[in-house]
Amino acid sequence: MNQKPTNSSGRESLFSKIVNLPKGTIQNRLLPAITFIILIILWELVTKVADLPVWLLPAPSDIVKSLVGRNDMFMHTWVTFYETILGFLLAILIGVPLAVLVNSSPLISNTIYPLILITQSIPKVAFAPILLIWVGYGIVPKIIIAFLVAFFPVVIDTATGLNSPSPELINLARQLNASKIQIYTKIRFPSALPHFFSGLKVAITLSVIGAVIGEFVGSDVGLGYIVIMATSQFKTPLSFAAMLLLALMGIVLFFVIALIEKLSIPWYGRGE
Amino acid sequence: MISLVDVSKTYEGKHAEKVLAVKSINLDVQEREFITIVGPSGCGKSTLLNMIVGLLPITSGKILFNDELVVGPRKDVGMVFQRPLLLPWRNILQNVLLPIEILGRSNSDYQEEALKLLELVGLSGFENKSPWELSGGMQQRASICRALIHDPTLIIMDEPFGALDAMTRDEMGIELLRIWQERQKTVLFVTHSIREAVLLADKVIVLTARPCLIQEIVKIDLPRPRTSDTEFTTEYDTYVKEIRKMIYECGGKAS
Repeated sequence: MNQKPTNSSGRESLFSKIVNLPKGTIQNRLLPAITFIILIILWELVTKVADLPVWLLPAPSDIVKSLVGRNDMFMHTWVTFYETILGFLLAILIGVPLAVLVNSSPLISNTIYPLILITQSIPKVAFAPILLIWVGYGIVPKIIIAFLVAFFPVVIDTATGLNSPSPELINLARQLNASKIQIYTKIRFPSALPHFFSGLKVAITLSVIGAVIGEFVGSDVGLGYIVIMATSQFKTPLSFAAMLLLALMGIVLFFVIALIEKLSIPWYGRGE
Repeated sequence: MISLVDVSKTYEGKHAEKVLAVKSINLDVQEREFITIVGPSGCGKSTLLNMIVGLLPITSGKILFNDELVVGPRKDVGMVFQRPLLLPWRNILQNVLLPIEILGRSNSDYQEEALKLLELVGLSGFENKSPWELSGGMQQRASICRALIHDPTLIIMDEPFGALDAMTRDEMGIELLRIWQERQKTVLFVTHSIREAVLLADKVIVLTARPCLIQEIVKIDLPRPRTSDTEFTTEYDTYVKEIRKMIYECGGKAS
């Protein structure tokens, strides 16, 4: 009677718990892993058997080897990481108030939405060089690009979430002369959390891409710089290695957000 | 206690034309009366309720609530909807106390009252549960407690049992009568079910389809306290048939 229902039976993998996958049998969880390993082995075999030149398509082993002894990769990863995080945090910092504005009145919404849409529709790759002219060569343009690609899902999803409570519930609060602030703090903000986190999960992976775009355009540090530099020098394995690190970064950050989501809205997905 | 005098409501339609939603309603509700409202879907029942409690301005006429003109939301009203609409991040007790927080009163002053209400609806021991741990009927009971916590004079119920299964629904009706008798509130209860309307009410108000106007007010002279046995009396059946006929005659569909 007093036991809160939980779905954390030990056999469930962290992945399925966080991403809300249905609880599966061992085969269900083993199959993706085996498939992945087989693909890696196939890749290795194909490159070796066909004797492909490393600069065209490096084998997985070449990619790993390219990382050996390159301690500077930690630094490059770190730079891209904090550009990503700062852009992401900026997206939350600016995106959430914008979502509140959008939600607060149809007039403001009609004014702001087209502007947001315009900023989103401008190709960031095209915009990045201009940013370079404006704010220079440092990390600032990278953070701005990461922010620009990340803030859109934050605004859209948070605004949707703020709008999600039933009008009847809002009426109940209005009936008791609730202030706007009360309606936000007691009803709208908590209701928006599931949408907000959906937005964050999209935003964090986009932030990584944004930071890399920024580095592509002008940088001498960061994983994006490594990709450009390595490719231009036909060091294809290193280029692949940098991409691998970027993918890992995106995945880890995604799961961190998903974990925070799980912890902060345990009530989500339980129905009414 | 509540008087509606020639109350009308017009909306502005898509092409700036006037759409008459509610047409010259005249109604008097006495204190502690249990009024049920039946009528075809989309006949403006919710519009009518929202105007009475001051959430929606009226176009013409006037509404008096305890001899005061209704000009804005009145705090001495409790609301129950078709869905319980409990907040999933709050436990049952915190959900019941939501109106108290909104009114800026102290939660601890009302804790005892909240527990008393939960006991009244048979939810003792569930105060620390989360809404999702309760069945639909139990959640609806909790939402009734939420409507009663600030001791309002009027309770508005908009198809409160419409989403429940038939058996729970019958049980909840009888339960509601018990709560009403104990707490002595005026109740305005909208329903699609004529049987439910007759079982609960002192007066059944039969509305017509758009524009919404009162077709008939049927006084229900069945002895109280009513139980599920009331439904087996011939007097009860007569009322149900009479009201059904009224609704069919005006072309509406009754459920």
